[in-house]
Parts: sequence; structure tokens; C-alpha cells
Amino acid sequence: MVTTRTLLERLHEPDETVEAHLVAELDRLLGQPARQQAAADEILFQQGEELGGVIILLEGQVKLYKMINEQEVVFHSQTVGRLLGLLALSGLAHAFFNCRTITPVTYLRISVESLDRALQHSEDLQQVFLTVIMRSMARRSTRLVELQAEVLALNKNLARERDALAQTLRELQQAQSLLVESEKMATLGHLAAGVAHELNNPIAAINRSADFLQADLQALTAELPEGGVFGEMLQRALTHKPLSSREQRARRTALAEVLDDDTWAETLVEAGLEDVADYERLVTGLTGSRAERVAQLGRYYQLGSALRNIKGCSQRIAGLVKSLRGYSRADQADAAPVDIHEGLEDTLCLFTNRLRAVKVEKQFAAIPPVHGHAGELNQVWTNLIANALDAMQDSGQLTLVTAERDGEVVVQVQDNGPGIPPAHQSRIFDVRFSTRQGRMEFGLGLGLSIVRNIVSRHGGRITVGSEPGCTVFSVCLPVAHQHSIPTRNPK
Amino acid sequence: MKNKPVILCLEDEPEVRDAILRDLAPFKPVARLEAADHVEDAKEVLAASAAAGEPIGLILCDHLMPGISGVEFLVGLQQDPAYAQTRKVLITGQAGLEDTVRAVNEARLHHYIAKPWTAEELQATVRDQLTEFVLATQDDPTPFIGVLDGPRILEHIAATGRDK
Repeated sequence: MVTTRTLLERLHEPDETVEAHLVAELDRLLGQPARQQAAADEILFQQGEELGGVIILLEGQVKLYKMINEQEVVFHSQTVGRLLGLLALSGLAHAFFNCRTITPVTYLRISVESLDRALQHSEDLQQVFLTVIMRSMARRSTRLVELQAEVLALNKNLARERDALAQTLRELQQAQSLLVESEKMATLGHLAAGVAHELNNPIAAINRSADFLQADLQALTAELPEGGVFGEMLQRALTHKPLSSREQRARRTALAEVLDDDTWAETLVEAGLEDVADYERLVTGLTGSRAERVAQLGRYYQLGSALRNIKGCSQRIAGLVKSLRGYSRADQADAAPVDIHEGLEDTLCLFTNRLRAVKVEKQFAAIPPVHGHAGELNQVWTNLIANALDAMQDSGQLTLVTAERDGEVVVQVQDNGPGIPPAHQSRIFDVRFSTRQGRMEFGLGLGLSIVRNIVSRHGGRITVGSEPGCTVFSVCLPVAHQHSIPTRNPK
Repeated sequence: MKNKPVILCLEDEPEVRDAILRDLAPFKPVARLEAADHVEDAKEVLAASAAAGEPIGLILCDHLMPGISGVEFLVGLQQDPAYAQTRKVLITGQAGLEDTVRAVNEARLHHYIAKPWTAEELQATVRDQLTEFVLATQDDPTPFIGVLDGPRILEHIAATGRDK
């Protein structure tokens, strides 16, 4: 016999004692119910099955699980306890879990009626039974909390992995955009080089023809009866320093006062004459009416100034072509020593049309050549200058600074535009970041991500400092960077 | 001919200015050619012409110039009733769509000539535009018949019965 104890005292007894007591009481009250056996990995009952009683596990281990999405999800194995079919007993009548043995087991199966009978006969059994139930429930609910925590942790891991995947995808997309953009740039470079090359022939021919024309005209002046005047007018036009429209008007007004004739004054100024004595001397060498002679002087002069304009403009085109070729001297297979100043000058030359209202200040120090790809570095200057001009809306001061510092060549591109908002500063090197809405000038301003990419492939780095009225991009390139630099388009 | 209308050519590159002015030489009998290489100078021309009582008949304007752009200049001019009848032509190789739209909408641009131009194109445009100006402002357009759009001027005279 067992001494009678209170429920609270029972609750403090070790599991084994309480469980042994439960089995002893059931044996006593129900006349030693039969011990049943089951092998390992056998199903004791299945979810939804009507149990009609409880199972008391005497030896061995079982697990309680459910099938979720055709997968076995184990809810309890260590936390099963000795009493099975608890939820069925508590009013559900049907088994809540599947129960499968892990090891061979020995158990008692007690029907509801028998259990009820036994409980009615023994207050002691009631206490022990209650204790076992409470402990089982406590263990299982603890387990549920743990499961919940596990689910949370898993979810967190999942979220982390999902973020990592999203990041990888973004990086892949960035890498792809970079590739596409550099391909585009390389294509443009080749195109530009091709066009520059094609332009060389016509511009050489124009240049030479202008010289031939000049030589022939000068020879002609020696043969014509009025050649002396022609020659002088030609020479005046060719060497004439171009006047501003304002100066020209001032001369016309001054002459008009002397001559008291607006039309005549206009004609003289157009013929490059500002001195009436000059005019008188020249017209005496000609024949015909005064109007004819004035017109003749004007024609001689215009011949010269047309020739001068052809020569000046064709030289400008030749300069542009040279810059374009220098600029797109792109992507030689091997890195070579690059003259940074040459690259900056070529780039500026190609921006001539946007630099009309911009004061360009060059603070160039004596710097050694940088080892790298000239064409790619020119893209860096192009992007930085294009951005600066965009920021200033093509009007303001652009300062280019070069210096050598601690074995590095530093190139700074500075503008006095409104500055980059602090919120943008950390994002400007991102691939997709752009403040211009679909505005692309000849594929320039491809973005600072490409700039950074090129600079870092040259072993350098790029930084930005910006406040309203002063934005400086600094590119640092190592001087003695002699190892090979991967080209963008390995052939 | 007294108080000839002025054709003002606003262009900052001297070679281009020379070329435009030479292409405009046929208009000399009926218009005075003035040139300016930047906007401030153009304003001086406007002031001088106003003082001399010569109306500004037509402005030929490049777009990209130091300081303010050609379009800005034309837009500013549009505010001034003195130039309400002045014909405005943009001659440029650089204006983007946005600038051009602005010139049309806000400066009431009358014509756009793309560089490089041809003499025929430039002269036809100036002839048409200056004819418009003359018909809108001159009591007696007869002296312009020989150089500008003669048939149109004659038609106009016939229609308005102003033949003098």
C-alpha cells in the first residue's frame, strides 16, 4: 500500500516514482491488465483514429507526428511522456497525432470504461493520474513554445537567404548593365575612331586645296594688270584680325561721319578698309566707275576672307578629328603609359560646343604617365566633365587639377554647380542611379558606376566631395602600377 | 530708301557670321544688315536701331552662345511689344527638341534653319519672312517688290487697294 499524499506533494515527486505508482495502482484495481508489445517502427495509432482509451508506455520510445504537405512533421519524441492518447481522452475522442514506435515498446492499453472505473475506486489513482497528465501537458506545451521559436528562427533564416538571393540578383543585373554599357561605349569608340579616320582624307584635301588656292591666287596677282591692288586686298583679308561685331559697327559709324555716307562707309568696312586715304590710294589702281571700283575692292577682299575662313575652319575640324582619334585610341590590348593631360585636352576639345559659356581652368602639375588604357581613362574624364557641365547647366567654372601625391596621380574635376544633395552622394556610384530623365548626349554620361569600374581596374579609386557651389570628383591612379590591367573586352 | 528694316544676325563664330552675311547680301537694297556676336551686343544693335528709327524686321539667331542662349534672347524679346512684328528665325546645329519647342511656344519662332544651310534655303526663308514683316508694317510696300516676294506684295497691294 502507498501512503496517501496530497496532489501538491505528488507534483514534487520524481517522474519514475509517480509513473511506477500509476502502473501499480492500475494493476491493483484492474487486475494486472495485459502487457502488449510492439516492434520498432510500428504504428500504434493514426491521426483521426477512435482510441477509446489511453495507452501507457512502460518501456521503449515512440514519436508523435502529423503529415503536413505529405511530409512527416514530428511534434514530440523526447517529450511524449508515458501517457498516450491524452488529447483523445480530453474530449476529442479521435487521435490528434500519429504515433509510431522508435524502439520496441511495451505498453498497456486501458479503455475509457476501465480507467473511469479505476479512478472512481481510488482517490490516490486520481492524484497520480492527474499528476502524470499535468506533467505530460507541461512538457508538451514547453515543446510547443520551443517549436514556435524554431519556426521563427527558420523564418528568419529564410528571410535572410531570400535577401541574399535578391542581392545576388541585383548584383548580377548590375554586372549585366555594366557589360551592356561598356559594350555600347566600346562600339561608340570604334565608330568614332572610324569616322575620325574617314574624315582625315577630306579634311587633308580641303586643307591642302586652301593652300593651293592661296598660292595660285597670289601667283595670279602678279599676272593681272590690277594685280597689285588685288594682291594687297588678298593679303589684308588673309592676315586680317577678325573684328567683333561691335568693333566693326564702331568703325562703320566713324567712317560714316568722315564720309557723310552710310552705304559707302559700310562697303569700306566690309572691304577691311578703315582709312579713307588707303581707299583713295587703292582705287586709283583700278578702272571704271567709283561704284565698280568699290565693288571690285570688296570682291578681292571677300576672296581673301573666304579663303581665310576655309583655312581656319578646316584647321578646327582637323583639330577635332585629331582629338577624336586620340580620344578613341581605345582599348589597345595591352596597357601602356598614358599621358593624362593629353587625354584631358582631347576630351575638352570634344566638349568645345558645351564649353562656350564655361570658364575652364586648368591647374596642371608635372605628372608622370599612368600605366593603363588611354581610351578607357578618357571615358572617365568624359563622364566626369559631362556630369559637371550638366550640374552647371553648361554655364559656370570648370576646374581641372592634376597633381602627383604619394606615388599617385590625382586628377580632380571640379564644378561650381549646385552640388549633389547629401542623400544622393552615397548612391551616385550605383549602376541604376541617375538624375537625368532619359537624357543621353551621344551616349555620354553613362554613369559613375562605369567610371568607378574603370578606375578600380586601373588600381585606383574615385571619391566625391560636394557642397552647394563646389563639387569635386577626385580620381587617384597609381603611378607605378606596372602589372597588366585587364581590358574591358578581352579578345 | 529711308529707315530700312534691319536684319540682325546673332552668331558668335566670326566665320559663320561672315558666311551668313554674305548670303544675305542680295537683301541689302531693302534692308540693313547688322551683326552681333553675343546677346549684349545684339541689345546694343536693338537700341541703336530704335534710336535711328529703323524697325527690326528679322532676327536670325544661333542657339548656342556664351551667356544666354539664342532661345532665351528670343523669349525675352517676345515680352517687348516693340518687337511684336519682328520675324524670328533660329539658325543652329545644336538646339535640342526641348529648346526648339520652347522657342516655338514662348518666343513665337517663325522658322528654324538647321546648319549647315544652303544659300537658297537661307535666302528663301529670309525673303518670305521679311515679306511678312513688310506687309504687316509698311504703308507702302512697293519699294520691296524687286527684292522680296514681288507677286505676293503685288497681290497684297491689289487686295488692300493701297496702290499709290
